[in-house]
Amino acid sequence: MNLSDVSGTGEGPGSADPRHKPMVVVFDSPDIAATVGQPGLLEGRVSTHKIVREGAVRSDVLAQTIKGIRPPDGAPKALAIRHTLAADPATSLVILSLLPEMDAAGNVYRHIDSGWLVAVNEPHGAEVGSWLEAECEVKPKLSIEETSNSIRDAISIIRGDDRAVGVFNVSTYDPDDQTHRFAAGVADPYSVRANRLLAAFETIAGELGVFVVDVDGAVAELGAAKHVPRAGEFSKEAAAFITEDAGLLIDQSGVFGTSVQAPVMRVEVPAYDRRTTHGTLAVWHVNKGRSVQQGDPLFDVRFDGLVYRVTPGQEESERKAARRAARRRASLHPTLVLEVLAGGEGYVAALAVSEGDRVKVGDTAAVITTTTDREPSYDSSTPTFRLGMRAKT
Amino acid sequence: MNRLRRRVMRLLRKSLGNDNYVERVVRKLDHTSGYRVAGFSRTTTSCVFKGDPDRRLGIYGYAGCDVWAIADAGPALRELTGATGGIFAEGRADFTRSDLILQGYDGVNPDHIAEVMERLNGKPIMMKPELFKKQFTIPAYRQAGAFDKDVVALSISSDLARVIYRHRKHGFIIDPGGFWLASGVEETLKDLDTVKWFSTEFEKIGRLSVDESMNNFRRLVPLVRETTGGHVVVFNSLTVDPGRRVMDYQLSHSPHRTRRREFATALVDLARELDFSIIDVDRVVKGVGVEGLGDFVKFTPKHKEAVGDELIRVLVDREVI
Repeated sequence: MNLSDVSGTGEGPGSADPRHKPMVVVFDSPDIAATVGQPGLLEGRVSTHKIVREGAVRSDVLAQTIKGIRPPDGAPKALAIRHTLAADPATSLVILSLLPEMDAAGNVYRHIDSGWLVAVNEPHGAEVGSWLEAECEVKPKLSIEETSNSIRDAISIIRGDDRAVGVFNVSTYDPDDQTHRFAAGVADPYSVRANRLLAAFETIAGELGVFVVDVDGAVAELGAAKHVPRAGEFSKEAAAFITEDAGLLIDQSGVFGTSVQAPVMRVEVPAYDRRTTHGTLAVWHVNKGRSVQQGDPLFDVRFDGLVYRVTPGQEESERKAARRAARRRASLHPTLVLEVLAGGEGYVAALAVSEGDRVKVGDTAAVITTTTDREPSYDSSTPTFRLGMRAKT
Repeated sequence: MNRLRRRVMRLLRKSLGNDNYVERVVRKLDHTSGYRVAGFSRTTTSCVFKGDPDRRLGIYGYAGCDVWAIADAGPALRELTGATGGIFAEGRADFTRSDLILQGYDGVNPDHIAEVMERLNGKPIMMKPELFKKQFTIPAYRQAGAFDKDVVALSISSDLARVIYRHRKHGFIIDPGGFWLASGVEETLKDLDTVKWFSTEFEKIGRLSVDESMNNFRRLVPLVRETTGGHVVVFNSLTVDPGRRVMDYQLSHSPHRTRRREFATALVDLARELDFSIIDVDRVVKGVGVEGLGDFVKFTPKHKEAVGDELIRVLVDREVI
C-alpha cells in the first residue's frame, strides 16, 4: 500500500475535528523528501500547523483514495485502503509532486472486475501475490490525458474547501537521453513525456489555482548537466535551491494567515520570486477604515530589476557574475509591478508605509482587522493576512 | 594593442555615431584579412573557414536569433571535416514565422505590397525569402564565394513569439515589428500618418496556434528539402523563463512557457512524421544553466557554443558530415 500511516490522526477522511490544530499534508515523493521533507524543516517554518506525511502516490490512485472508493470484496486485508487526509476539513495546505507520474509504473494494479486501483510498493506475502495475479492486471504508465484527468480530479477535490495546493513539477532534463531523431511508433523519451505532462499540468494549475515549485526552472537555472545525475533526481545544492523556493511558496500560500483568522492581521510585502528582496510601494488602492473583500486590490509594489542576492561564502567572481546577471535583467525588465490583492475580508485599520517608501519583503505594509472598532496593536508575531498577487508588467 | 584599438573605436563612435563608415571599413578589413590570412573568421551570425578546396560545406539557418548559434559550430567543424566551410544564419524573428515564409514562397502581388514596402521602409527579404535558393553567400565574406545549402536550420521560435497582421483587402500578411524595428522608435512615433494608415489597412491576426504552426512546417520542411537539396534540422525552444519562476498559477492562464512546451512536443510528433532531427535547444541550454539569460532565444556565448556542438553531434549522427 502506498499511502503510509499518518501520525496521530483519526480513523478516516473527515474524522479529524476541525477545532484541532490545522494540518499541512505532504506527500513525500523523493523530490519532496530531499527538500521540504527534510526532518524539521517544514515544522520549523510552520509552527502553527501539524505536519502530516503521507507516501508518494500516483494521481489516479490518489484521486480514488480521496473519493473514498473502497476495495472490492475479497481483497486481502494487507491491501485494505488507508485513508488520506488531503481533503480532510482540518487540512489547509497539501504539498504533492508530479514525480510519481513519471515513474515506470509497474506497481499499480487494477482489479479487473471493479476497476479498483492499488499501488503495491512494499514486499507482500504469498496471499497478496496470488490475489493480484488472479484478480488484477498491471495498470501501465498513464497516458498524458489520463494523468491530466486524474490530477484534475484529485486537485479539484482537495481545493474544494479552499485548501491551498502546492505542487512540485519535474525537471525535463534526462542526462542519458540525447534523442534528436524520433522514430514512428517508439514511445516518448523521458524529456518529451515530462514536457507533455508539464504543459497539461500548467493548464490545470491555471484553472484550479495551484502554487508550483518550479523544479524544472530551478535545476535549469543552476545548470542541469551538473545538478541532475539521473532523470528525476537532483543534487544537494539544487535541493537547497528548491527548498528555498518551496519556503517562499509556503509563505505565499497565505493559508497560515487566514486559517488562523485572527482579529488583527498584518499585510506583509510579498516577494515576486526568490530574487526580489526590496521594492517601492508604488500606490495604495485602499484607505484607512475601508472594508476589503477577497480579490480587492490593496496596493502596488514595484521591484526594480537590479536585485541580486549575495550568499555568504560566495567567491568574488561569483558575486560579480550575480551582479552582471542582475544588471542584464535590469536592462531587460527594468521594473516589475506587482498588484497585491486581499485574500480575505476585513477592515483596513492602519497603513504602515506611504506611497514611494522603500520596503523590504516581509515588512508590514498594512494592518487588517475583522471589526471596525478595534485599535490595532501588532508586532512581528501577529498573524499575516492572506494575499493574492498579479504581475502588472 | 587591442585595448588601444577599442579606445579608438569608442572615440570614433562618440564622434561619428554607431556603425559609422570608419568602423564598417575596419570591420570589413578584419573579416577579409581574417579569412585570407588565418583561414578562419566569423561574425555573430556567420563563419567561414578554409580547408580542402574540393570539399565545401555550407550550413544555412533561416530563423530568429536562436539559430545564430550555428555560427558557433564553425571552429569544431573546421577541425572535424577539414573542408572549406561557410555558415550563415540569415533572417530575424520578424520575418521568419512559418506562414510568412510560405507566403514568400507562394508569392504576393508586387502591386499590393508596393505601398507597404515604401511606407514601412521594407527590405526585399521580408517578402521574398532567400531560404528556397540552392546556394547562399555570406555578405561579410563575399570573397569566400557561394556555398551549397548542405544543411538548413529552421526554428519554431518565430512561430512562438511573433504577432502578425493581415491586409484587410488583399489578404497578405506582414509582421510590422520587422518594418518598424528597422527604423528608430522616434521616427516611427513622429510618423503618425503611417500608423493611422496601418491600423486602417491591416487587422491583427495574432499568434499561430500549435496546429497552424505544425501544418506550416509540414509543408515547409519537404519544400526546403526539395528546393535546396539540403538536410533540414529544426531548433526547438527553451521551456523555462530565466529568472522568472512562476509560483502561483492562479492568475496565470496559458503562460508563454506552456505554449513553448506544447510547441516542443508537437514538433516531436512532426519529426516522427517527416523524419527530421530536432536540435534540442531546451535540453542543451538547461544543461548549461539559464542563469543570466535575457530570454528564451537570446543566448550567451557559452550557450551558443553548446548548441553549436549539439548541431555537430546531430549531423555526425545522421552522417551528413
